[in-house]
Amino acid sequence: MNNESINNHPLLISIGINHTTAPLEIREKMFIDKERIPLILDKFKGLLSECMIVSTCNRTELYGIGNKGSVNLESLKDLLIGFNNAHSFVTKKHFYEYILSGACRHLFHVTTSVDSMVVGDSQVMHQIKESYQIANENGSTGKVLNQLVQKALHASKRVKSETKLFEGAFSVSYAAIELATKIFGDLKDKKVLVIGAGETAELTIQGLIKKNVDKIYITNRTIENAHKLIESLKKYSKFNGEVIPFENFNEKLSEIDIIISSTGASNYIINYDEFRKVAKYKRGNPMLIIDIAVPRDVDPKINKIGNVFLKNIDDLNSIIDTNHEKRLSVIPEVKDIISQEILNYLMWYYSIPVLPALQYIQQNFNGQAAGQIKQIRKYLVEGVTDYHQRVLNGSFNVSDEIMNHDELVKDLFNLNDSTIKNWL
Amino acid sequence: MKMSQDLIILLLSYVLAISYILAVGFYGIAFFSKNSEKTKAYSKKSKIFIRSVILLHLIYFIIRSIDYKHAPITSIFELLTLLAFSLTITYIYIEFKTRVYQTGFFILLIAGIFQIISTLFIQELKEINPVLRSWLLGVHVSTALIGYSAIMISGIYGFLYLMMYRTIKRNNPSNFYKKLPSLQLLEKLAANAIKFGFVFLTITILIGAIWLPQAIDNFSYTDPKLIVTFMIWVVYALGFTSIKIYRTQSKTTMTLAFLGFVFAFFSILILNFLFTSFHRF
Repeated sequence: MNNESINNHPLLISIGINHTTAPLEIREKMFIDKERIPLILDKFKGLLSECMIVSTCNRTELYGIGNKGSVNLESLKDLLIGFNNAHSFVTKKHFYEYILSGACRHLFHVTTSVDSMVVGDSQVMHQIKESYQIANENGSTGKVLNQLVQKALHASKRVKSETKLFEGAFSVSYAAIELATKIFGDLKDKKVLVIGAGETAELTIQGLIKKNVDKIYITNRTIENAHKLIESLKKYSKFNGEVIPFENFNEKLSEIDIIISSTGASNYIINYDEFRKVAKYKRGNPMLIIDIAVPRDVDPKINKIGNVFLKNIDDLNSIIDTNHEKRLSVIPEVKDIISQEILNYLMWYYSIPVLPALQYIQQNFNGQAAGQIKQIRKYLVEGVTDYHQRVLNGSFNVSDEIMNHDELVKDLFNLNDSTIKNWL
Repeated sequence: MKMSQDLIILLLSYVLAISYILAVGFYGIAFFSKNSEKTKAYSKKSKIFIRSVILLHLIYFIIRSIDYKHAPITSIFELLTLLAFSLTITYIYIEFKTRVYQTGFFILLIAGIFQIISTLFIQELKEINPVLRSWLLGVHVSTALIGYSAIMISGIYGFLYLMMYRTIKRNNPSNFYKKLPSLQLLEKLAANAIKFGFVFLTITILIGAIWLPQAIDNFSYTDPKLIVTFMIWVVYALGFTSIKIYRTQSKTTMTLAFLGFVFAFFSILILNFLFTSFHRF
C-alpha cells in the first residue's frame, strides 16, 4: 500500500507485530535488542523523516512519519523482516498497520497498557520511554513524534494517578511465585536456579526470599553480574544464595525445583535431550521452569515431559490474571483520559498547517489578532473534534481516514493562506 | 410408641438427606462462584453447616441403634449412610488439618449421593441374619468401610489433581486453578488415602477370606462382590507399589486412583442392586 498525503502534511504511521497479531514463536523472531535498535533506525532514515522502534516481549512496532507526506508500508514491513532474517517465519500477514489518528490511538493504547496482553502492565510505559530515548539519541525523532510520545506518556501518567488501572497488576515476579505456590504449595524446602541477572531476575528472587525458599543459585554469562546481584540481595537475612559458573549450571539441574531463565541468548540454553535425563533423575517430582526470555531460553518441547511445567511469558500472562475484573472495570475511565489526550494531540497535529499563520499573528500582534486566532481555533475545534469522534468510534478505514484527513488539512492550508493574505 | 419412633427415624433420615444437599450447595457456591466475597462468605457458612450435619448424622445413628438394637451395618442402605458419615468426618478432619476448604463440594457430593440413596431405600430388616450379629463382622465391615472411604477420597483427590494438572499445563485460569490447593498437596492427600485404603482393604479381604467360609453355609469364592473387591485391591496394590517402589509419574498414580474410585463407586451401587448373593450386606 502506498499512502500519500496531500500538502506534505506529516503522515503518521505505525506497523508492527504484537500479541494480538502473532504468537510468541513469531514475535521472538522479530525481537530487536536495545543495542541493535540504532542500526535499524539508521536503515529507516531514507524512508521516514521520523522513526521510533518499540521492541519488547509482546511487540515489535514501528512508529514513523512518512517522508514528504508519503510512505510505502509494505517496504517498511519488508525491511523489518529482513533486518531480523525472519523471512522464513514471518509474513506480512503477521503485521498490523495504522495510519494517522489510528496510529496515534494505538500508541496511546500501548503506553497506557490498554493494548497490553494483561491490562495494567505498568512496565510498558518505561519501555516506550526507553524506546523514545534511543530514537531521540539516534536523531530519528522530530517534532511530530516528540509531541506524540510526550502526549502518550502524559496520558499514561494521568491514568496512573487518576485511575486504579495499575493497582495490583500483573508482574512476572508475582506470576512466577503464584505459579510455584500452585504447584508446590509451601516453597520453604525448594531449590531455585535463576539464569540471568537482570531486573526481572532480581524482583523474582526478592519474592522467593519472602517465601523462604531453601536455596537460590544464580548464574549468568558475565559472572560478575551474578556476584553483584548476590551482593545486593545480602541485605535480606533469609537469603541463602550461591553463584554458579554459567558453563556448569546444567550439572545442578537435577537438584533444582524451580528454574527462572531470562538471558539474552539467541539459542536455547536448556535443550530437550539433555533435560529429559534430568527429569528422569527427578523420579516424578515436579519441576517448574519459567522462561521469560525473548527469544526463549528453553526448548518448548520440554513441556511435554510429564511432571515438568514450562511456562513462557504468554503462558504466564494467560494463566495469572490478577485483579483482571477490577482493572477492566476502570477501562471506561482510562478511555476517557485517552480520548481527551488524543484530542489534544490531534489539535496540535492539525494545527501544523496553520502554524505559520499563528506565528505571523503572534509576531504582528494588534487588535485584529484575537479575531484571527478565534477563527483558527473555531475551525480546529469543530473540524478536529468531529474527526476525532469518528476515529474513536472506529468508523474509519484507512482510505476513509486519508480522505477525511486530506480534506481537513486542505481546509487548514487554505485557512492558513487566507489568514496570512488578510493580514497583508 | 414404636410407630412414632420409626417416624422420627424416618424424618431424621430425610432431614439428613436435605442437609447433605444444602451442604453440597453451599460448598458448590463457594467453589464455583467467581465473586471472591461470595466465595469467602459461603466457605465460612459451609464450614459451620457441615459440622451441624455431622452432629445430626451422629444423633441419627444413636437413635437408630437404640431403637433397632443393632449397629447400622445390617443392610447396604445402612452401610451407605455409614459410608456417607465416614466420608464427611474424614473430610472435616482433612479440612481441619490442611485448612483447605475448597474440596468439600466434591467429597460431600459423593457422601450426599450415598445418603440420599440410603434415605430413599432404607428399611429395617424383619429378621436379622445371626451372622450379622457376629463381632468379627463388625471388624470386617469397619475395615471395609474405612478402606472404601479412603478409596473414595483418594479417587476424588486424584480427580482434582488431574484437573489441576490439566489446567496448569494448558494455562487455563479456571476455577480449579483459582480455588484448589497446590498440586503437591492434592497428590499427598490422594497418596495417603491410597496407602490407608490399601491397608484396610487388605485386612477386610483377609478377615473375609478366613472367617466368611466358616460362618456362611452358601459361601462361594465366585461371589461378584468378592471378585470386584479383590480387583479393586489389585488396582490399589499397583498404585501403592508405584508410589513406594517405582515412583511413577504422579499423573499415572493419580489416574490409577481415580479409575479405582470409579470402579469402587459403581461396584458398590451396581453389585448391591443387581446381584443377590450371601454377600448382599
